Amino acid sequence: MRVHLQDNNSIATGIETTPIRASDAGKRLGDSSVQIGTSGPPTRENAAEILIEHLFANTDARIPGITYAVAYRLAEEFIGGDIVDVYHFDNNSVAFSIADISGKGARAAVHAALIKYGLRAFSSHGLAPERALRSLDRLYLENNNFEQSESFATVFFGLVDPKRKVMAYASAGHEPVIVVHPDRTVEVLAPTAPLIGVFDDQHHLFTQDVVTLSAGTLFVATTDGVTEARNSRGEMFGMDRFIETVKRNFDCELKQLIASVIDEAQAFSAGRLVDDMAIVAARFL
Amino acid sequence: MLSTNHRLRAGDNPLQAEMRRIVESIYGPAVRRLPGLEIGRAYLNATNEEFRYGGDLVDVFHYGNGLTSVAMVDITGHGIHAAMYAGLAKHALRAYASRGFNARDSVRALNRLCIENSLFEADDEFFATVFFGIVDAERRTMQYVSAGHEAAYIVASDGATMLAATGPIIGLFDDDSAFDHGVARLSNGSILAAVTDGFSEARNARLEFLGAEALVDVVDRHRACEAEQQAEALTRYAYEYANEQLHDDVAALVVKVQTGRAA
Repeated sequence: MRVHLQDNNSIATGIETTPIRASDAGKRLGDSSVQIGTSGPPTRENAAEILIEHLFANTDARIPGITYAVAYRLAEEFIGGDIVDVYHFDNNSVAFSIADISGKGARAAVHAALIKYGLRAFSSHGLAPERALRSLDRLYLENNNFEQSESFATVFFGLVDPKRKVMAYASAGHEPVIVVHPDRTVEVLAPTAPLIGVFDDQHHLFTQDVVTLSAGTLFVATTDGVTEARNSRGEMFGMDRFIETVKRNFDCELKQLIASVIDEAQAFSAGRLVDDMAIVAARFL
Repeated sequence: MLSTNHRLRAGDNPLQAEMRRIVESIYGPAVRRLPGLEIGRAYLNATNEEFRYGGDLVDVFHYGNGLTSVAMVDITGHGIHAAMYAGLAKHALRAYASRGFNARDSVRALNRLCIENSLFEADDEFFATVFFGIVDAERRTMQYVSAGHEAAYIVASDGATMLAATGPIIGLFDDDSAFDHGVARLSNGSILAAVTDGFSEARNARLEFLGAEALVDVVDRHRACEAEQQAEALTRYAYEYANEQLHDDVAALVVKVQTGRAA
């Protein structure tokens, strides 16, 4: 996420003008003995892949009652900045998180790890989404203070109870998250909290909400690399096109659905990739 | 060439520099001074390959309530999975301590999380020894847990105290009650030093183990040095003892307690 703060503290995405080549870093490094630096300097691709291998959701896991897929596409010159995680607790609930972190490079990667593992730690211990985000905000601010950084992030965190077929969620300023119900009605899961890493005195504003996941419901969350992809006239891909693309691909396999979203957003911006794109989709059976 | 820390070097291209920073970011922050504490750490790869992801993690974090945590985690295995678990252990311990958990409850929660995590990330087996201390520099005390981590000492002017294990290694037993804690006094001028088993299991030409207790002597001899130099002295000592042939990574953490004038 490349950002500047506007007067009203809302977040807008700036535009990078560097020439861009998209890199589809979709393959996983299954070999745990991969080493960098032993055969020449690391390339941008393997550096990014190794980082992603560390941090992005395990896509091999089977979770009863849920199918899911994750994809990411890296903008040139960027490493890190977006993070997606899926986690299956041993009490059978399932967490989906997606975050968009200010800045890029190693700093953003540190914060990506902090968000991923911080949320796993808090929620594994039984904190509800709102509490988990509040605790994460506190940890994030402590980390900013410790590392003398000024990082902030938007974070969505949803906790699915597969038995009751509901997802309790909290969203710290993270916009592009939708649920498409089996009758194709679309519910936008709007933010329930301010973004994290900024305000130390706003914890009373952290709330959570809940959405019903009847059989066949589709959940899709992405980052603003998708919704704020711009065409030559400066128009953004936007929530409407995002929602339309998802609806059009509703019956497709999830892998294809998320690839379509990313492809169309990239095609919209004439192939240029100015910001990382990350996306996660899940279908509840 | 012996390199104890991943460092930025002249001649790095931007990408190499970036990778170094990322490796740094997982395995711990730069040396720093905190109120009443001076912290040093050193890391020595068994192979001299840059960027080899080791299984040793040293982490220090300072919380809004003024407490400082020190963590040393020695993870089974190497490579990407070890690095992933290093990240998990680092951030989860910070998260729990940030929530106000004491050292024991933080490690209990980490143990639970790691067992759960191993079930989910089905291709991974995860065990680790953990030393986790929460230091109150003002009161000069540390509550700590040693989950099978046999090599932590407090070296004071009147002698050294070994901080014995207070529980089993983590990732193995899904049982909170297995983990207890200890409390140590950190008198002014005392030094907390911990190493991973790459140190104690370094072998000389006669295949004799170095043993953890050698740490005390090294720290004592370098008492006047800065914490980072002490940490590097520890890793160098193991390296030389093993005739430059280490079979496991060596990490060292040194915390000097210096409230007011040093003793």
